[in-house]
Amino acid sequence: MRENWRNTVAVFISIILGSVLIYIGTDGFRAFTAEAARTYKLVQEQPEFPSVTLEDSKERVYPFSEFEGKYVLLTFIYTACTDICPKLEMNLAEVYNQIPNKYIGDDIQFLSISFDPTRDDPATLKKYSSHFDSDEETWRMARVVDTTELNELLRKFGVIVIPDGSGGFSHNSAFYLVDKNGKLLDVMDYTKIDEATDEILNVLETEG
Amino acid sequence: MKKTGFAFVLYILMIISPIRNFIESIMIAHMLIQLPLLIFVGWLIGHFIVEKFHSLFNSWNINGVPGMIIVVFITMYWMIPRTLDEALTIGFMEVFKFTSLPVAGVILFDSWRRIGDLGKSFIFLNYLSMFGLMAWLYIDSPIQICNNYLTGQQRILGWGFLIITLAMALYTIQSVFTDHSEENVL
Amino acid sequence: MGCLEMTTIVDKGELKSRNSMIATYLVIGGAVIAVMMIFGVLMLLAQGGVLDLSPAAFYQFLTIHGTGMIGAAALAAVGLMWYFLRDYVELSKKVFTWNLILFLIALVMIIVGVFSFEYASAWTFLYPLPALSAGAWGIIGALLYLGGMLVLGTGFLLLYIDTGRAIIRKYGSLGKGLGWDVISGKKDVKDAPPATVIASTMVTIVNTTAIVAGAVVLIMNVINVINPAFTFDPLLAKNLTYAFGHIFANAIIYMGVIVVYEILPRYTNRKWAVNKSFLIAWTMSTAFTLVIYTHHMLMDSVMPKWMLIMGQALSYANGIPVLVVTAYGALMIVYKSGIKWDMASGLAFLSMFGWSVGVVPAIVDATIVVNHVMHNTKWVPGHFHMYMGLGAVVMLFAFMYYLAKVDSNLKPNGLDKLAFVCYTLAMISISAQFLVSGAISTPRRWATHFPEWMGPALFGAIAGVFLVIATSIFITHFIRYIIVRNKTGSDFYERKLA
Repeated sequence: MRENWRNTVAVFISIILGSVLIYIGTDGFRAFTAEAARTYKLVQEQPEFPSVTLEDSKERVYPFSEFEGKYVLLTFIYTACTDICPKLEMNLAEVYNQIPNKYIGDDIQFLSISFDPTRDDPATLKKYSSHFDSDEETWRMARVVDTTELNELLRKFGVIVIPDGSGGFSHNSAFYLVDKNGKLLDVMDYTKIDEATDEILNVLETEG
Repeated sequence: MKKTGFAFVLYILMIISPIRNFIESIMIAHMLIQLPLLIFVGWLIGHFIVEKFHSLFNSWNINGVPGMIIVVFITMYWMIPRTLDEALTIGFMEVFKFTSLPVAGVILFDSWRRIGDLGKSFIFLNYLSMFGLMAWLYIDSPIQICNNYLTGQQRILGWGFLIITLAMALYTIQSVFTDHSEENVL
Repeated sequence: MGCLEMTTIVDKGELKSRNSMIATYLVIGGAVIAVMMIFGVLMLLAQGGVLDLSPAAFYQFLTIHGTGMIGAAALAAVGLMWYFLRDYVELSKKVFTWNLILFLIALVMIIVGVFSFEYASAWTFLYPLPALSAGAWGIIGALLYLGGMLVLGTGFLLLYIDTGRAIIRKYGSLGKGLGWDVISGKKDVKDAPPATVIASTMVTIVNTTAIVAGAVVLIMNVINVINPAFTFDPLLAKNLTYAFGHIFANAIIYMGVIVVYEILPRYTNRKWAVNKSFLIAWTMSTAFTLVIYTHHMLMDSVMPKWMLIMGQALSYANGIPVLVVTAYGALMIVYKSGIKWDMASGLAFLSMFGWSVGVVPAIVDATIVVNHVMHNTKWVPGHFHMYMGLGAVVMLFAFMYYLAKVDSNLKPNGLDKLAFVCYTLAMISISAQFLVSGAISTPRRWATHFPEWMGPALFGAIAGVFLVIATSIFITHFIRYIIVRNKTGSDFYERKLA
């Protein structure tokens, strides 16, 4: 047992090597699924919000650059969705309520974008926004009418929408935070309301 | 030598792309057939390799614990859902899979002899609970865990893990309740 | 690491260092128990309206109190079991030491998690609470706590694998360790394994099962904390959590009772008679302990009905067999034996009393119709404080006095006797206070109380102060033993008793 020190050293080396393997393999314990890894990569790349034309629940038509100079917190939805979207929007409402009034509208804009423009006309969106008490101003619900523009947006922001064949869609959900210049700042877990709120407040406060 | 030859053939068979693609197209086959077989290949050539690098193993893996830790980490790594996906989409990861797991097998071969009865039982029970957790994760998850496999496949894999867990539990129970008094060393 | 050490011949030096490791177990266990009592007093003071404690602090105290009590009592009980079991089978000292090291690492992780990172899910860490704290604590606190519990479990798992293997090596199988071959008539009763081995086998079986279940649910919680998108079935989570928590807490008394089996015979110069009913009782308790955790879930209406009915029926049956054979055995061995009562034998006898009376409120609560009304009241803490405080923990103190007596020339004084009386009365008062609170429908786990609930809590807090004093005296005696022994050495072990 004279050479036992080698064994002890080997124990530590194995632990360190193993941890490094797991660390690198999960982007620093952040991404344990390919999906999470994709989101992480997306955030690293900070894609710019493409120029798309929105039509909202009040039938106003404007480009996304309308919100330039404000942070935008957005979600991707379709109103016929019965499972995840209502939850997503309820949580968005929760974040909305937790952000102090002084920031709302001036510094941050809430936006829910429908990727189902054929069914989600302004009237439908209006009805949908009433479910979540959105004021249709500081929190707007809008569709992207042009399919080319919509696909470009979904591609850039990594939203995967697969029609399930019976009128619904299988899609991934998150809160997307876009900065004042239209660059994607972060993709946040929509189930973590408090963490998302904290992060947004942090961003807003450092901006002053 | 015979074992090494067999391991070589097995390894080649698993690399051949139609076979590889077929196995990898089914989630449960990928996780519970291909990965263990790769470890098994390493185990088979273990004797050959360990003989070659006798002094290395003998001085750095005296009680088998360092080796066992590496094996645990490598197997844990390949149980992360993400790695399964990446092996399919990133060529380099596929290569890493086909090398790291046989290496784990070699180290396992060497460490398992050294680690002692207590260590064996400890590792065994840890994998028992780890597989139980995997079963639960894959059967119960409401979300699609891997981008390349549908939730249905995911569930089948979960049941596969559950069967393994139950088998391990039954093995443990029979082993502690059957008589060992005839044996000198347990 | 990992290999078993074979030591057939124990010399004095070996013995001394073994006893000193056991003393370390006991002194750490005892000290942690005393500190946890102080947190208990603080909580009762807050509920009694005297102490201004923020709810956040209250729940941190609740978490550390529960975790610390169970962990420390289990640690000390393992020390006790190990001390006696090593006389019958070959145990690894390395593993015994590693368990203590891992316990200390876990203790630090849990304390940092609870106090520096404000983790406060109570010791039951019921899913999905660790991940969903409404901002009360963050990921780091939860990971430290859950990780600490995993480290703790690792140590105990290693230890029980060692005891299990040692018992199998000596007796052939765990079944034989429980004396199944005697029950089936293959072997004569006089060749049955000793009571200590039977109890240790039982604890090995149930706690290994508990820890394996616990590891699953702990790592599951870790995954959920790191990545909340991975969700799990909460009902299965609750089942596994209580399978772990109930069994692990329950096993403490089955380790502690070994002290009764070992010291009463030495004090009375009689043999503890292991007979068939004793063996059957232990086998029954082994099986029941594994399945009756469902009595924690009687209010979960979604549970399969048969499991709940089983939970009720078997809860009645769970502790009873062992309790009856042990209490009866204890009475028989003492009856007309001319036993010399001292601190150790007195405490051992008190623990049998505490165990017996502690079972009564438990049985009341395990009745489904009562449970629906009582389970969320302080009736339940009333039950387990009686059972643990007057039963299990007293066994640990009995062992501490026994060890000090046989391993040194230190004599207990009048203060120790006073502490004995003080401890008994204080613990009865605390248990009664909880039961009364339960009877007047005071909810458990509430940081603040309505004025009409405050009286009993305040009474309990005052009794708690006396309990802390008495416990400190017990532990001081034990620390004095360690000091004396370090000076004079350990040559008293061989000395004949009685």
